[in-house]
Amino acid sequence: MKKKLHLILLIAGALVLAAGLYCFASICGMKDAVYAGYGVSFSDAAFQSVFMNDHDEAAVRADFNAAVLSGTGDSAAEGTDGTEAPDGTEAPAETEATGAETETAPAAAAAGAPYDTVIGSFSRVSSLRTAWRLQGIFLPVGALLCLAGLVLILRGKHLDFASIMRSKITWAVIAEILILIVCLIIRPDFFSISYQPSNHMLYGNLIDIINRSAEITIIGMGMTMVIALGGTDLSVGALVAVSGALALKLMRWDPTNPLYQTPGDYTVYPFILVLAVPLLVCLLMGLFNGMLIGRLKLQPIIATLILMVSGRGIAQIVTNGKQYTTMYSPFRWIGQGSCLYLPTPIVITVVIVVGVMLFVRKTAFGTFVESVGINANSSRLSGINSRAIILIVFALTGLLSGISGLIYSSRIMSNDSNNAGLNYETDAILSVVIGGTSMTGGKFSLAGTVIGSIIIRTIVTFVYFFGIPADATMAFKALIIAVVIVLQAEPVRVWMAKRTERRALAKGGAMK
Amino acid sequence: MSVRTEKRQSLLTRIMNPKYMMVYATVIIFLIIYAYGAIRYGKSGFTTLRTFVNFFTDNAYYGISAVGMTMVLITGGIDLSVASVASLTGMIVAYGYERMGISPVITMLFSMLVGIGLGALMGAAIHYLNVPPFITTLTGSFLARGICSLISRESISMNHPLIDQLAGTKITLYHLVDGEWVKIKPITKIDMTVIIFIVMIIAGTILLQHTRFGRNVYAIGGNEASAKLMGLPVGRTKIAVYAINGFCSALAGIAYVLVVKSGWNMALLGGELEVISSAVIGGTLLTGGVGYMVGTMFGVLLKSVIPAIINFNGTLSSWWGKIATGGLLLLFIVIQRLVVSYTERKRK
Repeated sequence: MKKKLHLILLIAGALVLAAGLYCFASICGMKDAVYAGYGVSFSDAAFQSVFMNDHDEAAVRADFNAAVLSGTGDSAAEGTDGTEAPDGTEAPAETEATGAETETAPAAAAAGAPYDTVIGSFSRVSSLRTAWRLQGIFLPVGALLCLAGLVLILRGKHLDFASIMRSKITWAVIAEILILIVCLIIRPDFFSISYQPSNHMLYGNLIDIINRSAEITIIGMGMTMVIALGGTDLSVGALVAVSGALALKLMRWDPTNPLYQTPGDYTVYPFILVLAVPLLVCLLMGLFNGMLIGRLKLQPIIATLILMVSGRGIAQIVTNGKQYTTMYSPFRWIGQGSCLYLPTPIVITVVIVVGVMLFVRKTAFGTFVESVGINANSSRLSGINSRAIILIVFALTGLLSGISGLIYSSRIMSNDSNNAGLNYETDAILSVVIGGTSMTGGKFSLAGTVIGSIIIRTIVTFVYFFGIPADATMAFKALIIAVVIVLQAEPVRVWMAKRTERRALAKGGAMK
Repeated sequence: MSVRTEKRQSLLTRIMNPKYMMVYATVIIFLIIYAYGAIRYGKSGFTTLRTFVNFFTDNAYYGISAVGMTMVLITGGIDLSVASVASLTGMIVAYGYERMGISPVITMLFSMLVGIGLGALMGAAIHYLNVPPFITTLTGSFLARGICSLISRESISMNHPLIDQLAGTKITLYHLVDGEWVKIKPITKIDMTVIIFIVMIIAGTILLQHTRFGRNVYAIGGNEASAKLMGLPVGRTKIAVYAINGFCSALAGIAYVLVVKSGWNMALLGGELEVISSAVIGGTLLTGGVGYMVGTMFGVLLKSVIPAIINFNGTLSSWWGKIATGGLLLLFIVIQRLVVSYTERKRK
């Protein structure tokens, strides 16, 4: 029975995934038809403005024709107003668009009518609408089901409802799903994913959430182990700033030029060096933290506070207080490019998460960290070099902050010593704690941290998406985190476990 | 029940008690840096009384908050919400008067209540739900800052006679020259925020050193489990400490309003770490059980001496201030570490 459950999950997941892909393909088919027939790419935003806002066939027809004929699908959003000409970039496209709009919709339909050739009928419109909404739900749900089935098969564990309910990660996942469901109720197409051929990249809110959570997830991998050691690392945000500042400084530095800087579209030093130096410096700074904590036995909060305070000063001195910008395209790829049809930061994050997980769980390192976190003295007595463990963990956190800093500065293509990585330390710590790692040290969960960081980003996206003032994000964050933390608090979980036990006992008694 | 019932020791042994070492170290380093400034920039006015009083004035609001923070740190906790609560206080006072026409007296009292309430709530969560103080107060900080932003997202400057009067209340210092009281030159004034700061330091010292509550605080910081077994009211004391800290943060917010006369949702961003590091530089151990108000006061003074020296130098950029603060912090915790390990070895 239990073996079967894995298979059921896997098959159901595959079916749902297939349904999602079918929906996705039908939308892509429509877009391809537009591209093949009119040489125009029909963008996501245009799709939404044409198909989602109006329910009337005549309106959809007019909008669609206007959007396709105007040359750029994007300008359809403005074009729907009718009177003003869309700000098309190409001159011929613009004249065509104004022509299509000065005539009325039936006239355009008679003249060539993209709507009739590509869409054909109004029932197709409603089916496209449904497909657009459903693919967003089917794709992630199917992927999740498949993943759950695979994890169960790989772990070979029996499904135990009680232990699942007791796990902290379960609550984190439930919280994430609840937030997403609220999003879905407010915007039915919140989950929709679309493909942008010009960037070779998939777009959508879900992908955006994972993409934007990359920095915190990467730092969170190190922070999880720092917290498992019973400490915290407050310096990560400052290291992000240092790494960005160093990268930009090296990229723009040109000793041969009288201005000592390049125009920004090429580098004098090899690109590898531009990436390696910031990472090395961050690694060294992490080592410095580790030395203070491991060797001098300083308290982690205060020891890392030193670099947190002075790190931004160092970043300012590196760039001499300037804010460099760059246009160097290999650097842009790190934060804004695409890899395997996904934004590059996602791929980098996946590689790092998998790498750290393998390193920690396939070697004894993770066990050592947990042991040092539970009792440093007794693990030293049992032959674990706790100093080395502390050094490695803090150095790793430094290195990961450096990577995160490169991604951040590549996103903004500039360095910002004051705001880069601002509050990253708190976000990283929160994502670790939401993920179920206890602040007192000991057991840790890297998967939980990934979920925690995605939850934090989901809250932020939620807040942005629904037009709540950005500054008020913190209040929402606080409320949701408060709920998660209270649910995870030990007394509450003990109380709930006792309640379920009592119920089970009562049930058993009744049955007897 | 008083400290004096202990066996009397000679004055010297009492003064040289290793538990005061950290405070002495802070004072000595303050004096060294001050002496350096005096030798280097004595001619440009570093040694005047006004410069010295300015050390208090510059960071008075951090100092007020550090009084509460010291107590929290002594219990072995931490409070990251102080700056947000202070900013919320400023916002309540400014918004209350400018947009709703409520007298600042009422809004000040209200914001103190808010501070005490939030502090007590966080203390209760820390004690009863067993949530780490770091996380609880971080959430509290987000909440306060978020509410602040919900109230208003832009800076509200306020103009009220009471605030102006409070901010204008200054004690001018005189000194005796040939039997006549003359204003000290350059004219030195102690303003309201400094008075609050010093009063709070004195009140904090009395509370910590001469009351049962203060001894409970030290006992909890020393070892919470044994304090509980001894029958001390651990929960009540911890909640009270966080509530007092909330009150101090609200008071610091009011002091900040007196300085800037406005409320801003992003005011004092990162101030909590300034406050914590002041207390730590002043000799308070983050593990709890050790800490003195006088040390905290010198910690705050140290934090304003360094920028003053950088100001007097004139060529160093303010970034060096950050690095110097970091270096100073490093110096202190290393000294702390040495002192602690020295006393531990001595005890053995």
